[in-house]
Amino acid sequence: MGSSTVIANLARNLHELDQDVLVIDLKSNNLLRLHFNMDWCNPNGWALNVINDQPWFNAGFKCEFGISFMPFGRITYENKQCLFNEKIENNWLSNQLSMANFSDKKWIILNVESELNNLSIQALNYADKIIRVIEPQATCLGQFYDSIQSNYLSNNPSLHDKCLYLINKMMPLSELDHEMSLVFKSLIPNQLIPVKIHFDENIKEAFAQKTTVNIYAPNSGTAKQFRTLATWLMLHFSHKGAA
Amino acid sequence: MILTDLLQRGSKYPLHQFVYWIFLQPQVSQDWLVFKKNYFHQKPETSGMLFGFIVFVLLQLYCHDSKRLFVTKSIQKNLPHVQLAKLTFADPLRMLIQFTWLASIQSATPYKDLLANLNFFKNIFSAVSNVFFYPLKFLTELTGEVLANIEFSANSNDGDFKPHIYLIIIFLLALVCLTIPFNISSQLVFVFLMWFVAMSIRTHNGYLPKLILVILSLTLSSRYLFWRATATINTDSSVDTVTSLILFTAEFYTWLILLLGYFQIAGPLQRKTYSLPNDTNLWPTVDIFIPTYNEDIGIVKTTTIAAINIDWPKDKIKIYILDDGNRHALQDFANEIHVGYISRTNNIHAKAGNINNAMQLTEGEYLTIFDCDHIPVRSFLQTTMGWFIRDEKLALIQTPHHFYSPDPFERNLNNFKKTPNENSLFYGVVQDGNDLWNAAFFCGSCAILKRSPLTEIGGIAHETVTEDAHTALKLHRKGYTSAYINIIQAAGQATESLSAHIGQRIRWSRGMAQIFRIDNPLLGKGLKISQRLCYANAMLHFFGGIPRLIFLIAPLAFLIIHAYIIHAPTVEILLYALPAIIHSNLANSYMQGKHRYSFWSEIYEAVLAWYIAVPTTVALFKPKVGTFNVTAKGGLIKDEFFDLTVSKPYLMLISLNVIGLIFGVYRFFNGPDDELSTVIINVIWAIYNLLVLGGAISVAQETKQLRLHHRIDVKTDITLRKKSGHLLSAKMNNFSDAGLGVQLYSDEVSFDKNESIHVLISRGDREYIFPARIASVNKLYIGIILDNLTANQKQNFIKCNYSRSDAWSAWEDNFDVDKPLSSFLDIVTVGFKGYVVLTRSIPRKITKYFIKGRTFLFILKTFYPRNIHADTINL
Repeated sequence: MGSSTVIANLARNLHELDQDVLVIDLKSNNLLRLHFNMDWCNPNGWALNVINDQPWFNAGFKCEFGISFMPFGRITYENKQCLFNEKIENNWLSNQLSMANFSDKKWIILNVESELNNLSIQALNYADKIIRVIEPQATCLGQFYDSIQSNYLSNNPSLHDKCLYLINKMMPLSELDHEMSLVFKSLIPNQLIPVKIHFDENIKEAFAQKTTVNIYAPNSGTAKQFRTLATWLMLHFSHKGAA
Repeated sequence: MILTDLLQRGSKYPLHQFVYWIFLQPQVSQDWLVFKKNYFHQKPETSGMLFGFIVFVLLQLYCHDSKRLFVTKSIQKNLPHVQLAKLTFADPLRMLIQFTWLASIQSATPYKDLLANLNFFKNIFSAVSNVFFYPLKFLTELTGEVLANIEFSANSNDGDFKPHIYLIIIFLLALVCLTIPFNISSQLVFVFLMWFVAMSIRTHNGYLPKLILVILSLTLSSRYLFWRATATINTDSSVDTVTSLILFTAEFYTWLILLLGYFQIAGPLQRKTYSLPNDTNLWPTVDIFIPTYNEDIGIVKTTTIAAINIDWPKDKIKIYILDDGNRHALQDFANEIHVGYISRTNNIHAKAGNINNAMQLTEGEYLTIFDCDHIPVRSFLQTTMGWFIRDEKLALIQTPHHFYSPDPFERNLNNFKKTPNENSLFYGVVQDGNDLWNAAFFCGSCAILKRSPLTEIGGIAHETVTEDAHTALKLHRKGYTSAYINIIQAAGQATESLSAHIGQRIRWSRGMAQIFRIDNPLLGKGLKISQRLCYANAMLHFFGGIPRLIFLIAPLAFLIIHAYIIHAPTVEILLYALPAIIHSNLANSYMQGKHRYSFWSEIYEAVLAWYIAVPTTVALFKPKVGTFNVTAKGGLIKDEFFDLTVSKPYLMLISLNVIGLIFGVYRFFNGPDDELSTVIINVIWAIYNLLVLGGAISVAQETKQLRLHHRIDVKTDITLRKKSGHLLSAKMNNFSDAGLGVQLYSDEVSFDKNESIHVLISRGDREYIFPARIASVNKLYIGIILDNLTANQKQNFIKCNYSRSDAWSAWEDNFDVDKPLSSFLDIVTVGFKGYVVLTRSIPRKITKYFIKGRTFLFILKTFYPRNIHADTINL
């Protein structure tokens, strides 16, 4: 639920806090790159490289503010089938990432597809922390109780324990949203990140400008919330994570 | 040919350029327009324009292109007191003086020797002060070591310590010390030794230095008093004897209060909170009473809502509005928010009766009482109730009364948050001191009482007009204990005007005098000696009116009627009296630190002296006379005015002292030579009195009070939501019932006046949103007014602001520790201000000459040259 936006903003803020950040987009909608001002027409991405049998890490980009990110790449439906069914074997992700031999201090943020597939399951297992982005709404609560993803996580104690929950797109004017966030708070008191991200026009506008909100409107409410979120994460876990 | 030649060389030779301009006039007028724009900040008048044109022409003729802007700017910078656009006829003179000054004195070349000489004097001065300073510094270090040693040996000595034997020895030594008469030189040595000890010890922190300062002060004061009693009572004539005895009595009273005061505040307990059991089922039930009579309903509403916000199990807390005014609006409000409403048909025994009536209709184990204008924070019960569970005999917990608006002293003297207010001493030091002796008493509000002991003594005491202190006294007599927790857990509005403040104090002093008469704490059963002393001090304190008046007119006894009230040589008086005064100041300043600055008590007492003198005396003889009056709060003072009615007694005392001064001058020139020093002392005393009275006068000058809703300073991050859906983070600087003041972090987003917005404030896990409207925009600072809040939102707003448990915690951190000398200067300033105020009230016919004189001085001052700092001329 808006995870690309959250990740882009989070990465930007971690970077501003002098952290070494690498963002990898594992989502096939390939939207994360747009937050970092990548050209609309540029089809490059790690998935495309894998399809074309090129080294996947050649698809790394650096945005003008210095954040390293790796877009998914523009691929066709057939390519996607091929990617998930043939190219990506078991433990592909962990093998690749350990081969790259990143420093322990580096934040590797994976933008994981909400739908469970070969790749996202690898990502979830590989990650040190999983941040699930939720919206304070009844639909989301329903999914929280009963959905393939939730069941998969709760059946897997090791995964369940490393889950964190982040409330996103909270409507400040909606009484129900406030109530609902309290409901989440009472359901998962220890796993809910105490920072809430509000629904803010500035975020939409920032995305339309192909940037993140702390660049577009540094004094906006959400920019501050993302700053707080980044600081909170830095305080609690000073290494790797995934969303 | 010539023209092109000129064009090429024009810039090098100004005169040629001039010719060049004649041919190119549009260029000149263009330059002139640019010059005008640079040179004048305002619209120029003819005179300024003319001057500017001369400057322009001179610049064009004699100044190189590249330097013109610099010269233009520096002319302005060098003449800060001249408005170049609007020159007046005297400005040329000002310029002349200014430029002469800059060329001669400020550049300092011709006067180097003089400056060096000045430095020489400065060096001598610092050398002299070092002579005093270095021994003191050395002594300070030495005492530090000695103190550490004493404390170490006191801690390590756990053997059998028999205080009684030491006490007797100390008592005998003290007796010797106080009673042996000294001649002048021995007294001089004695006094200086004491002074050096005190000065070297006052920079150390701790209990021991405090006690030493107290003992030094007591020694000197008692010595003074003994000397006064044995050597200085004048029995030459009946007038002398009477005046002399009156003064001695007043001094004796002051000494007694000093002694009791030291006893009371020497060891403030500074009780911490005691935590409640984890199981909330063990927490007792509490009733919250909000008694009101005729106060503004808005204030009552805020307090009630804040009381609902108090964190306590919902089934164990009940809130009641006790309305003695039988107001339907209040009843409707109570029903709307589901709190109890209790009213009665009569108003017997005022507030005490009101509470007693409610006690019979309710059954909580504890009663919490908030005056209707004391807004509690949410942690009120949780920070206090723990002590009840720990101490079975505890019947009363009092917390400080805190005021978020300036009291009349603070407002009229303009020292809100700069100087600790009158209340601060009592709630910051005295009650904490009382607590050590189990004598902290009830102050009528922001307190919790246990129901069963209260029922045992027959409810709130109603025999006097200060029901609170009397109730506590009765509880203590039954053997119950009391506690004081010095954590601000509620805040209210201070009295608005000086007359209201005086009215309140008259009630307190009358009530205390009544208790002193009908239920004297020194007599009767059940109290410990320490409790008796604390209560006695609290009550005797209010009898200070007459002694204060005596001190205010004492110098007149000599100056006017020529009575020798202190029968001793001047030098001796100085050697006995001054050390006693200085040491009591040092000790009090050490103990009261940031709760009362030196000398301010003088003004507070001088303001009240006349008004409490009569009621206390009357109440002492006829305790039943007088009624209960409610302290009026929460109003506006629309126009500045001088409260003549209130200040009549001060004016009378001032005129007496002025007459005394005139006599003094007369005696100085016409009296016998051996009286000169006496005259000087008494004149200085009278001048000091005049300063203090001047302070009283400036308090009576009521300044404007424009806001009905007081703005309370905070620093909290909030979020604003524009109608468009944009969120903006901002900082809340202050809030009130009706709105808030906000500071934006940048000017990227602009707001329009009357724009509708939403304000998001978060508290703990929850976030609250309030509809609001922009009331004012001033660059980054915007004023926001809350718009049509629902009852629920109103409650939440109070929860986010007034109810915050840390709402008032940082309040007293602002104050520095007392600095006696600068505090004295403040008093002098305040005193002078009083006389400036007075001149405004004198008929215009007399003052007009003064005003003219002052205007003339002001004009003269404008000719005075200004120093220009080099860096300001840089471009």
